[in-house]
Amino acid sequence: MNAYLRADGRKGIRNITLVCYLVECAHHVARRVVDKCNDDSVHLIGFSGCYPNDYALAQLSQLIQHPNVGAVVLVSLGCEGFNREALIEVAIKAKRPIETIVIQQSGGTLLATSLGIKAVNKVQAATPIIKVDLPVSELVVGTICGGSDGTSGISANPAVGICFDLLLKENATCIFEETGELIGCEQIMAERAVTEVLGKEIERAVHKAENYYRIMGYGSFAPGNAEGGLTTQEEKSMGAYSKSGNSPISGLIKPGDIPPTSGLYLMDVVPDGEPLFGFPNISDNAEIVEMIASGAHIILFTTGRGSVVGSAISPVIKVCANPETYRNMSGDMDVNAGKILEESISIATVGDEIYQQVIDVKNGKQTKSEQLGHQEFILTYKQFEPTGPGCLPTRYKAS
Amino acid sequence: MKGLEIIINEQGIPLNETIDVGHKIACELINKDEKVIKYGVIIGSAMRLIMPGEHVHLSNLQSDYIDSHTRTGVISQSKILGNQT
Repeated sequence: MNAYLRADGRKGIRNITLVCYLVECAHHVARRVVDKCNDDSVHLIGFSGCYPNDYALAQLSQLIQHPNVGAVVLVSLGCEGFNREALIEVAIKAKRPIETIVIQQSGGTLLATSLGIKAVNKVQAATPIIKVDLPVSELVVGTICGGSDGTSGISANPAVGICFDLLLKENATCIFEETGELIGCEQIMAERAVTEVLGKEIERAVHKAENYYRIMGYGSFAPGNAEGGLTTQEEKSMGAYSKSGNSPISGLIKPGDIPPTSGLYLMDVVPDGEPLFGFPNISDNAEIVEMIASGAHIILFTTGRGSVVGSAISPVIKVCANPETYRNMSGDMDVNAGKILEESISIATVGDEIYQQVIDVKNGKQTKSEQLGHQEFILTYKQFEPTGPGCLPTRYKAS
Repeated sequence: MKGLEIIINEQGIPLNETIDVGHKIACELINKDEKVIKYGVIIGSAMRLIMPGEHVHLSNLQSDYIDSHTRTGVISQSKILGNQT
């Protein structure tokens, strides 16, 4: 009985109060509110742009009603373009207590900050705490790799793939992502799709990513990848791809789409249409946020070079691929997959260990990044067309 | 380790340089423009002749899809631009 039952029926594994700024001009006040609350369960998220963006509204709408979120305080400057009324409606509909602070109507920084702290206390007091059991079949787990090197694809990533297969056997929902990091894998992925049409959609999504990244002039390939032994995008892709395990692919979702059934989903994070707003994902946390917006309770983060990040809203379990990195940064790592390379421990054994970590974290155990206070968050401009019926065969089969 | 002989496909291959963890070496001779295979799939094309046991990396392997960037340069079209390592 470690999960939180929300009034809309969803179940979370944490009870987070969000303080959400709606333009960069309100960021400082929102951060002060969070700092002064001095409570690890109060997390800061927000959107920096003043121009409205349908994607950003859709992401924040999903995030404020995420099952790990109990209540929300919005911090608005007052003149920004963000449609805060729409967010308030979402929260009311999802029965999340919500308060809004408008800085221009509150007398400036100091008064808005003190009103914000009061608002946090008020919404927390209004959040019902109903503890229930959350079976694996209701769990949503996402995976991402960051700071990959030549060890990622042979230790941590296939071990996460084993964990995914174990979770899927128990009817969990699993999400893997970054079509731009799957360039070169499109055909083998398409063969795993539950329908031929979905396979075609997956190939189309990867080709869209390839085209988009070509226009940007960079692949999803950082200098550290090369220093760690990776040479080409397709080599990195094959390593990243192994995180998805061997189960059939049930659907292709876009950021913020809630998977309609349990199963394995690929998330297409590359914007539709002509590139308007720059790189699809400017850093790892952008993708983490998108998987959380699609309902992920937990994120499995594999790294070779050594990432330290966590996230707002959902715990991040870090799986270290490289034994040298593990020795160097063990305080940030939850699982040492590097022992596959040095101690002849099997990938399956580490896959079991990751699965056990998922269960423990689901039941309340803090991850290293949670203990260290990591609550990274980033949200940028994007544009998407609605997800087509061919991408979600299970939804249309069910209806 | 440089000077070490490793066995690949029952053949002894001497290493001419120290290879870092996660980096890769050629199991066999790879001709210029030949596809390079890892994990059983193509990961790019050889930019020049690669000898067995040689370090396979940015100086001799390029993507068939999109350029790879280092902090100081870009690997593209069989040319190395900038002062990358």
